[in-house]
Amino acid sequence: MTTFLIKRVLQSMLTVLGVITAAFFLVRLAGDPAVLNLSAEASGEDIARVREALGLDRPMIIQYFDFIWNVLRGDFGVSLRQNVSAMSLVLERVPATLELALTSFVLGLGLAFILGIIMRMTGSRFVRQLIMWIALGRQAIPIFSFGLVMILIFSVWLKWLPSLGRGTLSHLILPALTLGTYELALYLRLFNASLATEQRQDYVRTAYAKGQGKIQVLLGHMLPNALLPLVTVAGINLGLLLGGTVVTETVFSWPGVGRLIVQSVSQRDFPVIIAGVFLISLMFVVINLIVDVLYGLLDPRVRMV
Amino acid sequence: MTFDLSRIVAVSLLAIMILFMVLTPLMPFYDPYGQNLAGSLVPMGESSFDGKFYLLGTDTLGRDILSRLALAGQVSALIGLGAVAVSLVVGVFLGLVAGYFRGPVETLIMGLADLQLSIPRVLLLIAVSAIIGPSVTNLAILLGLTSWVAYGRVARGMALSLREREFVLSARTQGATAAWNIRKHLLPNVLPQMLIVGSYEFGQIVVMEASLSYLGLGVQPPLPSWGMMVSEGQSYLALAPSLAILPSIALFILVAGLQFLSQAFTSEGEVAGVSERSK
Amino acid sequence: MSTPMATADTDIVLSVRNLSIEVPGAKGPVRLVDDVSFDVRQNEVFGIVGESGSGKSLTMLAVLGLLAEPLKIVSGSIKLRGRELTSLSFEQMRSIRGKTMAIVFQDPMTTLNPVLRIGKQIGEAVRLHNPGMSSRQVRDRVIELLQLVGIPNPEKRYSQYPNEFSGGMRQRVVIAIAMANEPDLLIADEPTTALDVTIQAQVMSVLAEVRERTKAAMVLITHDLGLVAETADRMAVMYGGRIMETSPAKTLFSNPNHPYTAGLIASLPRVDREVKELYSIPGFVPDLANRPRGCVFHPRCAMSNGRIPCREEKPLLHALRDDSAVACHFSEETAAWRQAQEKAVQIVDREQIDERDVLAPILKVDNLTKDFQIGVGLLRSSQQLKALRNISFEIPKGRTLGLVGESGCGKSTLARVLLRLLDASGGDVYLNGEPFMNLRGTRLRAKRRDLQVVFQDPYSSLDPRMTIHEVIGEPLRIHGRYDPQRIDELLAHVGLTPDAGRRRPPEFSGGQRQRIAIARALALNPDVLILDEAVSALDVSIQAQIINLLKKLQEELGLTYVFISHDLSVVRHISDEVAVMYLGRIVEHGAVREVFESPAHPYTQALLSSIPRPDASEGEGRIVLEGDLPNPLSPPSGCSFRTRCFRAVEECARAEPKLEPRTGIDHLSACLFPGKPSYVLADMVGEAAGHAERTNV
Repeated sequence: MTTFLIKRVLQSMLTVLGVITAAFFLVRLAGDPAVLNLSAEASGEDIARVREALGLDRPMIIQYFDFIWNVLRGDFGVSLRQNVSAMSLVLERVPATLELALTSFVLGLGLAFILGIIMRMTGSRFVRQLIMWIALGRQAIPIFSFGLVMILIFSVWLKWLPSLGRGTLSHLILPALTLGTYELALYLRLFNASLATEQRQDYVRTAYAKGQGKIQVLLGHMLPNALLPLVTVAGINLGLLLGGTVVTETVFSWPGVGRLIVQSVSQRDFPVIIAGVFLISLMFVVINLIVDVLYGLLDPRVRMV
Repeated sequence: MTFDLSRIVAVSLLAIMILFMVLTPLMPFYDPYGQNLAGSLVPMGESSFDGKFYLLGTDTLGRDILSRLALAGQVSALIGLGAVAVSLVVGVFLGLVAGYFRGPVETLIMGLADLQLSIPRVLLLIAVSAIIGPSVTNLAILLGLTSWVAYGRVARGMALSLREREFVLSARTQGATAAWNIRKHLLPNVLPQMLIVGSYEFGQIVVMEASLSYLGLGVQPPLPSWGMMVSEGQSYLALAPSLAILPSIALFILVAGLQFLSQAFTSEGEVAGVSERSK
Repeated sequence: MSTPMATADTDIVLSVRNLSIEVPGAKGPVRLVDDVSFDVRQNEVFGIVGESGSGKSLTMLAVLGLLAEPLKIVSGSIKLRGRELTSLSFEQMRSIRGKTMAIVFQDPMTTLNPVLRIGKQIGEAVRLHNPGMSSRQVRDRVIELLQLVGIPNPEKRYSQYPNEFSGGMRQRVVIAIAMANEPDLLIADEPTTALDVTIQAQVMSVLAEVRERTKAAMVLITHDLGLVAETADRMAVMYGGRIMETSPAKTLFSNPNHPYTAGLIASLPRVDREVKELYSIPGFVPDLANRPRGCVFHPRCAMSNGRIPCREEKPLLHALRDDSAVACHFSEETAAWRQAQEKAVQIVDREQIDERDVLAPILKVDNLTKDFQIGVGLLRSSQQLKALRNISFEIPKGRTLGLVGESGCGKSTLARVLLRLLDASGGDVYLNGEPFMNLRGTRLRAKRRDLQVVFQDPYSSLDPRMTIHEVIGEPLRIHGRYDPQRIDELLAHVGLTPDAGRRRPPEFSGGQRQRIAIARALALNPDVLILDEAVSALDVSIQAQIINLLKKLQEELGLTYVFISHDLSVVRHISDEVAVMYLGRIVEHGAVREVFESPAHPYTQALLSSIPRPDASEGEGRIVLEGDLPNPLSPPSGCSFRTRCFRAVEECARAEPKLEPRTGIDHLSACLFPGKPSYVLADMVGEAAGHAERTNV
């Protein structure tokens, strides 16, 4: 288990390094930071001066290590528009994004779990299929479309809930429902598939042969096995969830990192964009690491390694 | 899940969408760009002041929504097909090579895949398209290059088991080269599965492109796009909800069709388009 | 239908009458079990033998009420201690399953839940039917059960997971679960099929012990005629969903009544006798969707000759003398057919091969070794697994070397190294006198033609997307020698018609696919063929066909075989020489007759003794090796077999005995105390039991 842990942590660090490298190339792709820092009328001399000040005249490899060092200190440069550190701009938006992401995650996973169990326990083929068709159908609706329909129904027509902003619990309901049900569809399909796989395993037959009933076998035997793939895949697909926050935040004007990134794009504020992307990726890597450790705790086969 | 039913649903949805995209441009009224100041925000099935009839109404600039929906669909489908082609070729190639050769090649390719997965796709696309600027070709290639992982992982997984299958081993003992085995045995055996992944990914890419366009980072005006149309309609949600709803319905029909298609060919224990971690 | 078993009713534990099971098919229901009746009595072992598709497992799943969805009991009755079971619901059956009757399934690797502790899994079975028990009592009972099935350190094992148990140990756990409530009826469905022969002997003796204690009746389902003949009291032979005959198990081999049984026995290679050729039941297992009219066996029957009753009328099971019954119209002819058959395959001239001894070896293996590095050496030092240690042998042209050993002995690794699918760590191989191991690139690919292979699994050996023509043509195309006529010729060689070439693998049965794999291996005119468990996955009647084909091809084409198998009987039948492997080493090597008739190494002796013998006389001892294969990562010092050896002394721990002639010039063995005949050993088993160490990986 410790070996597994150490290996996994090293792997995560390598991934973070990869993300940093990708960010470095993105920064380069964005164009000469010196030019971006100055107004359009700046002379060649001005540019050269700024280049020197920013250390852009040094060899690429030095700049690369410099970049890594800066990233590790959380220094992504200064926002081109607001004249404050890009990272601080991003950091103040993190709680909002986490609030939305975690609520949706718990909502989606929890509902998927309950519906998955219902699907296995109900004798009705109709109920099973109905749930599955709804899940598939929901997955085919993009987040922004679903969000707008929610706003139309609950804010415009019924006037029950606010359509934008963050603050009270009622602000959270629509965005969390929009993102959460999108996740629900994915997790439910996964959960159902892994339960279906487990149902065919020999140990299920053994459990029945002991005299156990269907519910006992489902909860006592199949569930612990079916949760394992669900946990991993849920971890991997967290990327979708975090990506989903970007769109959801835009639809509902939710003041999170995603919305900040989108706004910065229209303002061509590259340091903020890259700091935001980096931070979200970092969240993803960390959460995935936690998921994997959880997996190790659940599965004796991994624990032994 | 009765596979027959989902097959029928899938095929009908896709047929409706294809017919719509192909037939609308043949109609006499087809004009996705023409603005009509006398007829902005005409509701569905009504005529403008200058007497033109609009089946699905007009947008703020008085453009025919029906025509724009059809053209936007063509653009989406084109980007989707291009991206699927790019990602399928890249993903299958890298996946098979990783799975067949194993060792450092596999570590490298799968490391790249893990890395790519740890940057959420939408964010990567936002960052890149913000920087290099979006165009239809750029979008297709970008979406393709960021989507190879799904194919790569499934292909690698299958290659891992195929390379140990006895028909591959016996081909090796007969003197077959790696290229021979990959071409003659691995590729034909993974291809059907890849097409299933492809039809699921097609839907995902259409959604992704629509999301980017919704955020203003995808297809650029004057070309229409469903995502952009939803975004334009958002401001008039109370006044003219059909502006945002109609492109949403179009999106749903196409994406659901593709998704049901992949589901129809997937057996119960699997989930189309989702692969397990590479370990 | 009248049943022949007429004993006091109180004795009867299980009574099955006219049971039929169907599954919906494309053209109406398919009958998988057809009108099956039998009784199982108190304290007896009732064997059901049959090949795949005979319906033997389905019958017993139906008894347990565990038939999976589309399968349905369409008629008949199942009575357990007089209580009708077919009318009970799934929920009502719960109080019976695991309490009055229990089952041991085939594959211990999958029958236990991988994420639950062993103690919990056994405890469930206890608690379920004894709701009043405290957790303390349940725990005590589980420990007691673990002891009962011979699992050492039960206290520690209690809280371990299945992956910490070896296959044999897991099967003991499964038995413990089954015995948790001392059922009246124990069903053992191929309980040892997935296990090695020495472990099989352990598990069977555990089963016998627990049965002895609880006096349970047992139904033993198996494909192994020897096992059932040795273990069961009475038995039924099933074919195509019907019972062909029932009889006392002891007389099965000596006096079969049904031509199918007689044919099966004649197609079975035997470890204790040699025949010129195996009889092979022609044709294939019947497609039950098109069940033959009349007797289900008649299209393959050697005695029927198309007689009208066989074609028209289903024979019913009718009683014969001494507790036997048979479902055949002409069963009185069976004995005569058998005699004629036995006479035809008798070996007349015993020494006919020695003249070829002067031939130079076509395949020479010299000190071959293979090590695997286990564990990525990032954080801890990697360990070395010595999979092959100093393997040396030679095979003259046209001969067969049999390689036997249990799983983990390295025989398949050896095949892969010989085939250059894995790189050797040391040593040389000479093929036709030329070194083979150091070839690279084009020269290697050219030389590969001389050495071809047929693998075990007929379902993975052919690319499902190719036609048979393409499959057999592939080696020709690789070498740019494609020739359609050659492909038809190869098909003819293995007994298939050219039109088979147009079809694809899924249309063929296991036996036919193995023929196709052989044709492909022959395409490049190899000198040596490696047969890696090539007949192991096949049913007995099909296995005999393939063995006969291999022998015929060897004679016609002068092929040399390396025949790798875990099945000693088959090896004896087909080989000229045999090498026995244990933990990556050859421990004994010699002419077939010498090794089988006077085995020198204790491991060989134990292997031979573990094979169930149908006609073993009472009192003949059996060597049951204790424990499992040692962890190959840390093999014992000295002789690697000493931890399980009944003859080991201190000296054995010091140095590994060399493989050298000890009991004859051409009879090599690696043991300090070789060659005591096995009947002496029988007496030593008792004293050996105490000192053989248990090593569990």
